[in-house]
Amino acid sequence: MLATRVEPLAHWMRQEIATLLEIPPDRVPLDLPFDRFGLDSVAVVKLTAGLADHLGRDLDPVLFYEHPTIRELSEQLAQGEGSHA
Amino acid sequence: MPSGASAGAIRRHYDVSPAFYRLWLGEGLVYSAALWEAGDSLESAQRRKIDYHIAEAGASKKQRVLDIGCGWGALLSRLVEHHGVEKAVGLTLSPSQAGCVARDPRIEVRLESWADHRPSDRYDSIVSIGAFEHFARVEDSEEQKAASYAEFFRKCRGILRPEGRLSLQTFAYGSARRRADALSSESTRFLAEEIFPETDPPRLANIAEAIEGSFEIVRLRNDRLDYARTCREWMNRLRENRAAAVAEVGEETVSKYERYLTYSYIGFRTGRLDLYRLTLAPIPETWKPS
Repeated sequence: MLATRVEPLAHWMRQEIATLLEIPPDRVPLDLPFDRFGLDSVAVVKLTAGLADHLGRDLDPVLFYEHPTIRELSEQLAQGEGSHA
Repeated sequence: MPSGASAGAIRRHYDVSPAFYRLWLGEGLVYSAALWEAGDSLESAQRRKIDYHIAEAGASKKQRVLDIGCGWGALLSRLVEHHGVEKAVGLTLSPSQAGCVARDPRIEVRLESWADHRPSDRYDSIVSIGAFEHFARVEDSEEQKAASYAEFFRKCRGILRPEGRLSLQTFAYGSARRRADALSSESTRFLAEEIFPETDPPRLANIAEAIEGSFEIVRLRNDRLDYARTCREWMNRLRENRAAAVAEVGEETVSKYERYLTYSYIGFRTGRLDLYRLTLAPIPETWKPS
């Protein structure tokens, strides 16, 4: 089931961004573009690395801009897309 | 005396093996933002960019054209082979780049800074792509930066025919965040320390201020997403050719370049970095009775 894979991913991203922004996870919007969170490029690269570890596969930081919200990126990753070739 | 990156600092970046750069820049060795349209390959988008600057500088079929920061010579070759230019002069501080420029009697490459260039005649057109970024250092004061940039434009005006054009491409700090925040960020420090030593890109305000009395702006484009797409393409190619790249320059250098391209991609995507293409016309000199 796709939905059962999307939700934990979205939850994980919310947690990570909440930690970076020092706010509670439930205040992190699912549909806000990542660049509105004010994260600098180093933070995005670390977030990508953390997500790659979490999923156990290589990921490309461009994903955060091509699927620019937590919801879109979770759906994309749940379908197994976004890994290096 | 203008500051900017020293010859040593330029060599540290641009003298890394051309074979390494060829693996991700492509055969054309064009190391700056391409100009993309639908259906483009990196190669066709880079050609479009080169032709754009040649057109903006009005360089086609002219006698003398100067390329400041000529890299490995892609624009110089294009000028003489496709645009009927009689004499194309390129300046670079990198001996490795100078050694790669095509051997052609119509092309002259000089291992020389723009500040030291004393041509015998004025040029019909000047193009400068991806060099202006190096004309100030991170440690420069605002006054020093302003003086270096102003000196560059004064110099260009002095060696350009009055009806000529300067076509300039440079990346710059974008307006998405204040300069103080950009300077204190980890990615800016990494780029300044590890990738482009002694280099600090300008802001649009620096350019606008520095041209006063020398040039007027005919056209200004911010094509930052063109640079994001170019970085993306470079990242993909470097990944595809990673083993060969490591064999050429070692794991540490390849990792550093991967980081740098990723930060650059994000910078251009988010508007923290801009990519300006400026067409500039010299201010006429005041007539003096003889």
